Amino acid sequence: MARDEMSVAVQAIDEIHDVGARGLFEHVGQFDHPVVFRGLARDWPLVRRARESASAAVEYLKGFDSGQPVTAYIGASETAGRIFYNEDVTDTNFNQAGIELGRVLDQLLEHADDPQPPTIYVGSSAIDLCLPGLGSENSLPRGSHRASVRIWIGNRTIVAAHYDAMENIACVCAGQRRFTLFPPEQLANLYVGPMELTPAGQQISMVDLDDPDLERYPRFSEALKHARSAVLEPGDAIYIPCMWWHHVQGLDPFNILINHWWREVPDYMGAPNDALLHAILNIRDLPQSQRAAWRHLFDHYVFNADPDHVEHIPEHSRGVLGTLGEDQARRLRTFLRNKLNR
Amino acid sequence: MSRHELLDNVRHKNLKVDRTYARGRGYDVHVARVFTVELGALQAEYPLFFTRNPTSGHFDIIALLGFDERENLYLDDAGWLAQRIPMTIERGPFLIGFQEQVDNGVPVKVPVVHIDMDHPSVNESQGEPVFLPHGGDSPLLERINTLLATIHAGHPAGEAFTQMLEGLDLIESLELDVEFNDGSRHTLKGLYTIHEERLAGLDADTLGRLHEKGWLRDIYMMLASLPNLGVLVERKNRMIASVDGA
Repeated sequence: MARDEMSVAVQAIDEIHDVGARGLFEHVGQFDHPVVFRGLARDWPLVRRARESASAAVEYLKGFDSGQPVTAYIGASETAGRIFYNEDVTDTNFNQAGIELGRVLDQLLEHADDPQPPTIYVGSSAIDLCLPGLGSENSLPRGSHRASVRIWIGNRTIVAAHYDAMENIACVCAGQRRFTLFPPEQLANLYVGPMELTPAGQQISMVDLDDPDLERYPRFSEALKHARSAVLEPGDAIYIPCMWWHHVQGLDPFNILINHWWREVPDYMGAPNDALLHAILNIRDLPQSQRAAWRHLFDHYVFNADPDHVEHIPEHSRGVLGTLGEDQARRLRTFLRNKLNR
Repeated sequence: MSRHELLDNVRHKNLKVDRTYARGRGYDVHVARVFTVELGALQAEYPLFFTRNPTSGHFDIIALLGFDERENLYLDDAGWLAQRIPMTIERGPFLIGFQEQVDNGVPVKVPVVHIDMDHPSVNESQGEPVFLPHGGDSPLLERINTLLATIHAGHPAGEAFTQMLEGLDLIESLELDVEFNDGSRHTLKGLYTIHEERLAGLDADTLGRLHEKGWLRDIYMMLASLPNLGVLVERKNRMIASVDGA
């Protein structure tokens, strides 16, 4: 079976036991690879209740429910939990609906013993909006970091490999969850889908990790050589470095995860993907020789920019080539905005 | 008679809007909804009243433009006969629609620009382009974006104003009989205005609170606009005379 072959072949994610939650956001900055922290969240009230039973966890969560509808993905049982595309990639393979969280939780309990349940998935919902107060005892101490804390609830679901442009520590609260991670440079071997139409907000790998069609996606076997995987139990946590591709599979009929997303950059910096789209618009279709020249410019001013590349320009005349601050960023953004409006 | 579409710089790339505010161009209405931010500008030229909104049950502010359905006495065949145009007229075929989007995992309704494709001003040959050659917002669309945002913000501001007036019992029903120079009469119904006596009886504390919110100014703008009803009757008389003379 493909799954068994894979679990043998894929390297395990590094593990650290008995790490303290305090200061963890700074601590993970030293890692250039993913790390699993076993038992990090084992004492969270939500984790303790989920160990008791799914219904105990549901009852606990309902105590925080703001009544704010959340966006739920509902898929037919044939999708077997795969949050993906329809046959011809013109739409997703599930419907989206704004539903009260309490009703989603009830549906999960109703289908707990269903051998062929519908796919039920609520992803990336800000807990301050939908479950205010839950975070005070069920999230990591953030120190000076302004992290966004999200909850992910569902039954057996599979979200194919995708990246996020944020640092991430995710804590499994209920159910087993398998994470399979690929380093950023595996992009070309993951056969990534469209940018606009995405099942869960980010581009995903089109390859079925559990049953990869290697005739259609031959380079995926190379990606697998670089993959790292771990199955997390309730109370375990994982550090997913910014930009690492992660495939996430909920293995039980009732899964909850709470994650923390943060950026280590000034607020005035926008989404890097905006710059990528801008380059697709203005660079990609240039003649090859011009593109090669622009590669030099991008390397010089962006990718390899070190402080001395502008030392020959008096500091007061460096403009955007100098150190960007809040004010300089404002001017630059307005300049670009006006240029874009044509 | 309207076909609303989400404004889209691909689907509507060649669209133009002929901004001639004249008879038969889609502006033949006898009332225009107005908002508190424009009362200062409008009170010099329009009679302003309250009407009861059948949906919300609360009061809206309106400028009276004519006496009969589809009679707009501020229009002639060439253009608009006033310096200032109410925002809900100026926006022409553009309107605010709402689109469901997901923000932080929560469904939210986001205001977006729609256009009424059946509005007489909408065409592909005459007027101002909606989009720049490569799909950017034209100066017209930038103006419309500002206008629609102001209208959007005007709804809660207007509601706060009229609900305060209701709370202080400062709105009174007005029934006015007007007679035109051909002897015909018209009874204005469903209009409300500020109750001046009760306003005069407010204590200093209440007036202070109204002043802080800018509402005292709005109240006096409404009152100052009322002589324009006479101007409107004059316009109607001139129209009757010109029809008779023709």
